[in-house]
Amino acid sequence: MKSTNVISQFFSSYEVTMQTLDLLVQITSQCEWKNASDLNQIIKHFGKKLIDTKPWDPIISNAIKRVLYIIREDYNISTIEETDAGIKQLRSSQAAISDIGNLLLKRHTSKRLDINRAGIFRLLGDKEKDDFSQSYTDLQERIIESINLVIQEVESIYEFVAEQALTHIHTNEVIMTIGHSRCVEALLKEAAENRKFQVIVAESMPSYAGRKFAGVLAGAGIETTLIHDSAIHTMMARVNKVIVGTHAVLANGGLMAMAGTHILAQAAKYHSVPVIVCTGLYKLSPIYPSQDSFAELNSPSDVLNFEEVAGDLAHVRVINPAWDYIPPDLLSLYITNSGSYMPAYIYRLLAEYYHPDDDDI
Amino acid sequence: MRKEAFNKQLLNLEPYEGGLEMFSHLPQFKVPVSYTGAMRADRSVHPAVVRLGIKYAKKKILGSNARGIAMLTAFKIVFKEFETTEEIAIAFDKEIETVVQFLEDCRPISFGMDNIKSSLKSEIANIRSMDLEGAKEYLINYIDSTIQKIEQADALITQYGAEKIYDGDVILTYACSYVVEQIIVGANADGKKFRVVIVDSGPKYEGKTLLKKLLPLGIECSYVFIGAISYILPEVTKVLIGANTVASNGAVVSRSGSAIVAMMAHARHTPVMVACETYKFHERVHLDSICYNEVEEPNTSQDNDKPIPSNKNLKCLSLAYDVIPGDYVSVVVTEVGLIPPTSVPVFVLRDLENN
Repeated sequence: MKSTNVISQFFSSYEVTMQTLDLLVQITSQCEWKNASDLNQIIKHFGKKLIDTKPWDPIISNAIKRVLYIIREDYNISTIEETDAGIKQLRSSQAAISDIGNLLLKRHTSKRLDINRAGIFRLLGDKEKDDFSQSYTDLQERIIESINLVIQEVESIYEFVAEQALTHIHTNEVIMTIGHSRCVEALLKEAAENRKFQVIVAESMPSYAGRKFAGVLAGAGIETTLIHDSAIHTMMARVNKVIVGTHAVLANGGLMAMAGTHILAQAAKYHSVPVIVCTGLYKLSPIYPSQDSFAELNSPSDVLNFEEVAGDLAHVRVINPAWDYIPPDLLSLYITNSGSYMPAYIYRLLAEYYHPDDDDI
Repeated sequence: MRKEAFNKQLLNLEPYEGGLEMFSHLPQFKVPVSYTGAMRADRSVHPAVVRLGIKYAKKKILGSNARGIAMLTAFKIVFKEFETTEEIAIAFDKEIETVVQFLEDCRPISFGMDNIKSSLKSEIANIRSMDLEGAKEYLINYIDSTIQKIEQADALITQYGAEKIYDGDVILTYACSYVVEQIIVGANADGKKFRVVIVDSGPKYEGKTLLKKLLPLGIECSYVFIGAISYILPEVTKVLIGANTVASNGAVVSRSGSAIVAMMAHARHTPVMVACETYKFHERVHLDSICYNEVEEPNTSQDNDKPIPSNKNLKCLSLAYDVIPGDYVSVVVTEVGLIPPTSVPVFVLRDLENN
């Protein structure tokens, strides 16, 4: 089994999520557990260790909470299918919920109707508290299959995001972005195959991630301009849309994004420019922002290197924050793998991925 | 660039190819190898002016105050050695035009310098009846008194600004401004206990210059890049920035990046103070940062571990200035006191009336 320390080496949310999910599949298949409650405890135990490597990062706990939700759902399905009454109820409600089921099927990339039915079934069926202590023979297989579906879903987000490119990007538009986001890259490259537009990329100090991104876009045939961060407000006067990626999406519809994104959002508000966030829903976190949510600070040597500080500048306090919080009122739209949503709607999606009883990790 | 403006140029300059169409109304030229070599055949300029022009072009003199005073000093030298056989007024007028045009070709002049040029030219009306020596003396005295007025203005601004800094304040400033430095040093000398946050940005990193000046004085300083502004603003009580000019619609032209600082501070209801002498107020109106700006040659050589990819579809843009809309600015600190940005046209129109 992989060491939990390896997780802290991965920085992008995508890599972290994929590695965490792989690890959880391994835990589910290799550890000994009798029932869902046992598995729940095991996953929470390992989950805590993973989260401790990067306590400020919601992405790791997202993946773990998602799997815990899957365990509950699959346990419910197993319970229903075990009882005769359950099977009858399932068949009779099939007609009623098939419409709803089809609707959900279109929105979610998961092909298994069972998961969705179990979700709706909670509305239609019993709501008693279960202690998850029954053991079922097919539960392990079911859970592993569900986690693998989630892995597939995460792998395919760029494809589904790119599908929506032409709805939002039109000819001769000027689009502004910051740093390097794979989702935004997929969206813009797809749009570039059919339409001609310009992109302004802010280089984003001190990581200079924007430089590489500008090169990637230029390589795809898009007319790109690379600007310094200081010119964001200057150029916003000529921008039609701001499209950004994010590190995590918070429960109130706000963002935890790279430092500098708040400047883009605020300048866009002043110039009445819509701000679009491109993301996969695996980044949606069931947490709300608080004062110290984003206290992750990167090394100050990226800002003022150690040689410079040694001399005259010895007593300076240098700060290099990694993240910015962007409140939902500055955002116009979320383009995700399962469709476009407004920031005020994001909290509704939480119920489809997470369960409030798992919040205590 | 417009044709008349191009024809007026003293230097034969090569246009810069990588420029953006959006900024085609602004001069975008390559830096010439030799300034004297690039001069048009029939024109010549005093060597002191050539030296000054080269200093401007190589960014050895930064800041509109420093540039303005350097230009006045150069004018003094030019006038001292000025010889002419033409009519006094016309000759001096042409000379002023030539000097300013050369400096403009080296690096576009700031609005303060433009105002100085206008006021010098209006003084020519007074020398019409004098002889050459008398005219020279008159103009040199005028220049001396102008320099003195600027220095007095700075002293007053320092005083008014320092009065507005209280104990326990956290002052945020952007890049490096001479007047802001004076205010902070003045407040510190008055014994006030406060700390300073310097926000900086590439490619010039002017904030480091200010940092090096303030730290030895024992002032507690923090240093951040502009991306961190959202993080640092909750600690800040006041924002203090310098200006190149304040336009007649209350918009402040300042170093690129100042608009971001002012905007973020304004969103948090943190007061934004702009320090600017009245001689820099200009009659022009600025609605956004694109109608007037200075396009600089992009610095592609720095930070070689994160090189800028080269591709025909990729252009780099480096702008010098930013326009801060008047709504973001709480108060302008001038030598006549603290005025709201909407009162700036009063000074501009008053000067126009007097002239």
